[in-house]
Amino acid sequence: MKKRSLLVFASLMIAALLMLTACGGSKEPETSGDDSSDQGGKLVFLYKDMEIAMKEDAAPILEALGEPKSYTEAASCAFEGLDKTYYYGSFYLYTYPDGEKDRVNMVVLCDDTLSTPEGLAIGDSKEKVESTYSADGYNGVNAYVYTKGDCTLTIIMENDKVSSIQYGAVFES
Amino acid sequence: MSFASVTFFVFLGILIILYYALPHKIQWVLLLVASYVFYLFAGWKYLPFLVFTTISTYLGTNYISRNAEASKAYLEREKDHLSKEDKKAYRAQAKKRSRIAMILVLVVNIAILFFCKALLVDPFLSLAKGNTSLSFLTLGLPMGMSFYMFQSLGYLIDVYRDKAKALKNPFKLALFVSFFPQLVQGPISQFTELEESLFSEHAFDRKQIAFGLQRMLWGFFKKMVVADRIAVAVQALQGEEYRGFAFFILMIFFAIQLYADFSGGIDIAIGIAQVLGVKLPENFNRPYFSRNIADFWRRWHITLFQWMKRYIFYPISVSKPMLNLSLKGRKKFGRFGMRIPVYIGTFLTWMGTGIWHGFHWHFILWGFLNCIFIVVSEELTPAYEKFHSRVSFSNKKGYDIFQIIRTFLLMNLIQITDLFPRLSEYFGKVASLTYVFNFHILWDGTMTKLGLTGTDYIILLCGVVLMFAVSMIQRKGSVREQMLKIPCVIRYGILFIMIFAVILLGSYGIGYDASAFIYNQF
Amino acid sequence: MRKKAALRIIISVILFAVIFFALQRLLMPKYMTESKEGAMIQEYYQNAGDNDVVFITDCEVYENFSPVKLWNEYGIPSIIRGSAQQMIWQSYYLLEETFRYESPSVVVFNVMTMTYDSAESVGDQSKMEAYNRMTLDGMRWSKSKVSSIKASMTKEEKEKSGIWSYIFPILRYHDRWNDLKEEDFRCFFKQDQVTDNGYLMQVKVNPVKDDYPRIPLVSYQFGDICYEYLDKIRLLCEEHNCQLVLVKAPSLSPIWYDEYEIQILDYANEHDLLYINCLEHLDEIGIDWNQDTYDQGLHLNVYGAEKLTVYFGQILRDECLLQDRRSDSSLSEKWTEKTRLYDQRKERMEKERDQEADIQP
Repeated sequence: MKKRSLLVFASLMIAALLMLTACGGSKEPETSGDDSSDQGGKLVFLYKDMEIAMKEDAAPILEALGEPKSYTEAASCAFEGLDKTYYYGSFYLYTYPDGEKDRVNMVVLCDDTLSTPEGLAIGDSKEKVESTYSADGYNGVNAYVYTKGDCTLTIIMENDKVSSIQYGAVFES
Repeated sequence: MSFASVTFFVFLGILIILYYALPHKIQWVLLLVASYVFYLFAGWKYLPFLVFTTISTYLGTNYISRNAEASKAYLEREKDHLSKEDKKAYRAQAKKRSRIAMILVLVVNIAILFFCKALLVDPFLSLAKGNTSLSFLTLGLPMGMSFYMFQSLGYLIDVYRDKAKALKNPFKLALFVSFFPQLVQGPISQFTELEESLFSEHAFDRKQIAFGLQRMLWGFFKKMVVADRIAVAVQALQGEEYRGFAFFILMIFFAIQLYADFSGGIDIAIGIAQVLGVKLPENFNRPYFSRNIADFWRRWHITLFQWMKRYIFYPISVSKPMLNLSLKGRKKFGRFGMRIPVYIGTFLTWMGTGIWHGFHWHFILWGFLNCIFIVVSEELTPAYEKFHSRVSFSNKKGYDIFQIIRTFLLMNLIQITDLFPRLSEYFGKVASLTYVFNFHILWDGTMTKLGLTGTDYIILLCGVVLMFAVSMIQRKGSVREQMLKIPCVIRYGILFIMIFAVILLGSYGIGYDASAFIYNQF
Repeated sequence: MRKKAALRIIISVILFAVIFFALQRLLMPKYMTESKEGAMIQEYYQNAGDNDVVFITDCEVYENFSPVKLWNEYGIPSIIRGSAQQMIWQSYYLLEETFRYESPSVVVFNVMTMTYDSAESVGDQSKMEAYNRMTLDGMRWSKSKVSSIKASMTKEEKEKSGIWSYIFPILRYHDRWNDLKEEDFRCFFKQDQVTDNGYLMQVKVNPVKDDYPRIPLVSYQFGDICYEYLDKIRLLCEEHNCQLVLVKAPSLSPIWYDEYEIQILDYANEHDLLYINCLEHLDEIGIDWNQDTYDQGLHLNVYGAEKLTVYFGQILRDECLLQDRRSDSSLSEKWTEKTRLYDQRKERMEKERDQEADIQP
């Protein structure tokens, strides 16, 4: 039991430690939250200087927008409350029920008379999308999808041109 | 697998049947297997940490033990050839080797613990994000790490001090480290206390099993009906707008939550162990009836503070440099100077305890406040005694109650730091107690906006009254023993009511935020 | 002494079980007045056996096809195993279970279900959990139920209670003691029938006002899991010598895109299945969107459902070659009673509707 055994002991300890780091190495640091939501700023649709953000109370927005050109509603099976769709000529506004209130669920731009606050409109090119937002959001097929906080901005492409611009609420899954 | 889950009950049921049906010789093996199965439910990725602590403790304790034996044998063999000085030198050398081994194991394990606390818990990130939620609940440490590590390291030091024997069977040590009832949140057992009942054979004892189950039931009641229900309001009351009297209410609510949650969890752990014939140490002794803060810490999380005292406070305050310091201090500053080592020991103990809870400034503040209050109250003791010898209180009971309430409030003021990682917020809220007198929150509807309905408050009130009543009955000895004296129909009636109270009134499942036991993240 | 102790334990265990299960029964929602869809799955067992046609999937079948009408027009006994937001794996396991109770000749599957490939496609997770409960709680215990639970649970359900809250539903509904209703006591032992052989009757009229927008989607591709289960359903039907008929009910929303239609046509052609897209036969069916819907075209009311049933019955008779079984006296007797209840319900609901209309002009 001299220094040699102390050395043996120490090397056993190191071996055990190595085992630990080898096994424990696969452990991922537990960070939470969607990184994209931390990028600062937010995605909102601006209509005549009025901010229309997802999940916001729809009542004041609807009041400011005035009479829609058309309106449809849909109940979900077995539940109270209606999903409502308002059409204002150049865009659709969807709401979902949340208790007593209706909240903004989706805004869909219909034609090139409107553009996003960042300046993107239907008919714009792929390059314009990438320079206005980023190339990162490309889904590899036909759309660019960007999520920040409560909102997902979906830009659908057809023949390399923007064919649809949609703001949608993000629900936790 | 949470204790409060059907899966756990199935697991425990199977274990109990096997435990008493199979040969009693292998009971401890069964416990080891069960403990590892239990741990695996939390995820295999945490297992290496547990195994590492076990292996390193095994290697350390066995090295120390063999080293001691070998040196003893050598001295015995060579006793005629060695001079007194030689023997002394040899002994010192052998002790040094043991110390190096012990320190090596200690340092590596503590480093791992610190590393995990610092990186996995991620306090800085959470602070940066302005996270105001219960910091207890957001940590992500390997399950029960602080508890099993303290238990193992305590054992290692005991072996070094020759107060415990090194276990030759690594699997027995593995069981001591991982024994599942206490793995999650304590209590932290001392090896010599636990050894006997953990490894011996246990015959089927109906009374012990019934008592164990009853203890578990009481724990579930405290945890699920009281703690988890009030948790919503505790969360809500941390909002910026709740100051003054609202902060006072938060203090009271948090005191209820913390006690019901933590002591409930311990009741469950002790109850499970009792069902298996194993006796775990008590961790609470009616802490809210303490007369002063030092008294409180002899009654709250008892095993942690015994550990701290045994392995940090005493070694520091009686170490050679400290004794020298004491002598020097006495010469220069008299009685106060003599006590310097005690202050240093107390300070380091509390800082250690604070950091053990996590790398947050508010935990450090928590340790610091405890330290200050204890030192001040110790220092004032002679003055108190002098005062009492001159002024005698005609109403002794009244004074007792005053002391209890004072200690309760002071402790709440310290414990509530847990909720405020941002110290400025904490100080702001405490200060608001002196100038915001918003008593109207009691009747202006504020109380119903905290996520609790009128029914919830009634349930909570009943729960707290019951907890209080049980504490009072406890003064006359074991509640369960006393219950045996009442007619069986009434006794069964009470148990049925308790079981269905937990099932119906417990806060669990979808719709509830199943808050993990507050203490299992340390 | 030992005997006495054993007796005490046995009595208390029995007593505990009785109280436990009684409380569980009391606390489980009965779905008699609100969210009636929750009561449909368990109603099946009273009407199981001897049905030639089984409809599966969601509201696009249980509000659009009327088995009583189908019997009275064509003598075809049928039943609907529908439930709100039924996911395709749930349809599969329900069908698997159905084959243990009866041997239908035709299974009708509504293809809109192909667009729901995950809990996410339903959106709100709490709703998804509620839908799961409505479809699963009512099933009797079997391997199919266990498999369906496992396939259906949301992330939160898996984390919080797992399958246990289905085995002991009291763990899910334990806090309902605060909102018990009269029906919870009244229907403690026996629940009312809310459907007519699975058909959930609606009598209100709420005409279609505007077109539903056809918003472009990023992807129209049905999920792999939907194809996987559609294959399983098809093979299950083959195994039981049963014809699988695909149908798209005449619901105007959610939108049935052309891209969806192409995928279904391809699938039907590949496997030689009969596929009827009712949206393309609205004129033949005779749907009048001013009269025949109770919610602006999402679902039909009883008047629309009866028209659709008459149309669809012809297909079942002519293409699937189902026989008229009205000459079977015992069957006929059963269906006469069902018809009586159906007419009674219709009359009562119409009366209620008219009264409501009087109050709110």
